[in-house]
Amino acid sequence: MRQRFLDALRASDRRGARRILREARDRKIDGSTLMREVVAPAVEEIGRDWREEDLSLSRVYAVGLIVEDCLQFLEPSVRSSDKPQGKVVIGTARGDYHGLGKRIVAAFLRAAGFTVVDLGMSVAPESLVERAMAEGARIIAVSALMLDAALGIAAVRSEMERLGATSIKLLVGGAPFRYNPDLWKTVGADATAPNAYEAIVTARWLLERQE
Amino acid sequence: MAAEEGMTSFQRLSTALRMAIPDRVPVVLVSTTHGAREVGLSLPEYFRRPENVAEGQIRFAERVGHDNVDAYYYVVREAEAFGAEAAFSENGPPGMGPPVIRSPAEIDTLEGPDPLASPHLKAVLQSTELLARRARGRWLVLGHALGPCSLPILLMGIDAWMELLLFGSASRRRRLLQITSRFSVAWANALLSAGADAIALVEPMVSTTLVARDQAVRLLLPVVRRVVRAVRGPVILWGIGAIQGVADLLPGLGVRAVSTDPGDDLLEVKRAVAGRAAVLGGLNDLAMLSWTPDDAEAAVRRALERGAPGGGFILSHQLEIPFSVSSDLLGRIVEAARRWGRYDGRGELQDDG
Repeated sequence: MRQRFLDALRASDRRGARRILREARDRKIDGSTLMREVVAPAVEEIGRDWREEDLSLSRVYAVGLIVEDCLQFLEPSVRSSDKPQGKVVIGTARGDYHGLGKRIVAAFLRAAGFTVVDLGMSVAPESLVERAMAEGARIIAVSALMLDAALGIAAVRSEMERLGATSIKLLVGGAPFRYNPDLWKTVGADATAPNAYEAIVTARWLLERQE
Repeated sequence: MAAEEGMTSFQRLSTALRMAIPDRVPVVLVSTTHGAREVGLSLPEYFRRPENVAEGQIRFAERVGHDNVDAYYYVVREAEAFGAEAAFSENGPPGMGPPVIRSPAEIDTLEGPDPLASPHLKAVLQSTELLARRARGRWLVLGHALGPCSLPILLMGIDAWMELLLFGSASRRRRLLQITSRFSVAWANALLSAGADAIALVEPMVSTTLVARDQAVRLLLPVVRRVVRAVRGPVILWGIGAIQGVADLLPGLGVRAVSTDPGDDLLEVKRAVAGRAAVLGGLNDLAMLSWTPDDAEAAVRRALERGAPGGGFILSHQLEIPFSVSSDLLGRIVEAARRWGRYDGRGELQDDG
């Protein structure tokens, strides 16, 4: 089943992926098992594919959408039985209404066991930090497509310092950070990730550094 | 310096777009914001009057020495004609506000605006007319039009557009692309009528950064081809993202040149287009934020080495020069192209080591 699900992800086959999960449910396989043994490993596997080849956003987006479908399908049973890895507050940078990357990253983080609080698009720095503190989040993740918005993420770091949220890690992503490999340091982030799979890897790494 | 060269900027760039060999590699730099600095205005103030933009572009080109001028305001301009709002900032070009198409169902009743009726776009046409009058024969005037497949990104957001494209209603997708195609053609032709010498058709959806090759072939390239054929002037396809994976297909769209991404291999793209279109690129505009003058010169030399031999190459960058990159640094880029990018009669670079 894991291989069939992986094949569906690779083929951007949304209907096929849904069918596999429905079949699994009909066979009384519980959501947690499906998440642990089918969805999460397939997401990791396809993420490793991305390290080998340059994938188009359309392919990545299709995978993200399928993973979102799976989460909606499985989440009620998963939530009650599995311990999440950590909480992430996520949003696009203030002034940036390009939410595609954020949406894919949120779906991948959820599939990997993180609890994700999605604040949407064009989120003010103080909203990100205050909500992260209120939620007990361990990571604030911010994405930006526009350079100006990306540079504005420095205000998130300032706000974290002002409010004493120094134990929370700041993870950034988006096109400006890929084209300029030093930009994440310029805005005071703790790390950047070039795609949704690397966001999982990097988020885990940030959590290890907190412990 | 320009007087010592064998061609004006206009001649150099026109020659390259005809796939003939100019005196040296032309340089195309696109900035919506440096002109504001040249005329000493804030960005909102700069964009308020068409005269400011024309004057700013001329001064910017005079200072830096690149080969184009253009009345490109900012990317949201065309979406403003559909009712979108630009979100201004002091430190960079305006970003996009919330999308105007909030659900795919709204496409069923969407009316495509007439670009000539939009006050936002009329201002761009006025700037283009002013530029064309002042640039005549000296610089090439570039007009920018968003491509039919990428305009929906601004109208409905990239995730909603991607979902409609890949999994949504085919009839809605066709209807939206018909509306945006009509708009792109009308706008590009209006820019040409106002005096633009060539059109940069900004179409990131054809780059494999955004859309996989098989999907582009099936869903997008036929649409772009029809639009390019309806535009009454030379078209440069501005992909913004990586185009190496589709470069062999792009000359078939009828374009004169294709822009590349810093991750593309210029030599491979040139092989793929096989002399059927010129290739622009070689510089990473976002990396310029941390370049020293020596970095800039080294980047130009690397780009020329890979892209210039045999002609058909225009030194350029992927999207837009960030506001904080200095004109002095850009001047060094042009200077390096002048020094290292001179052609002999056969299209080989002259050794000026």
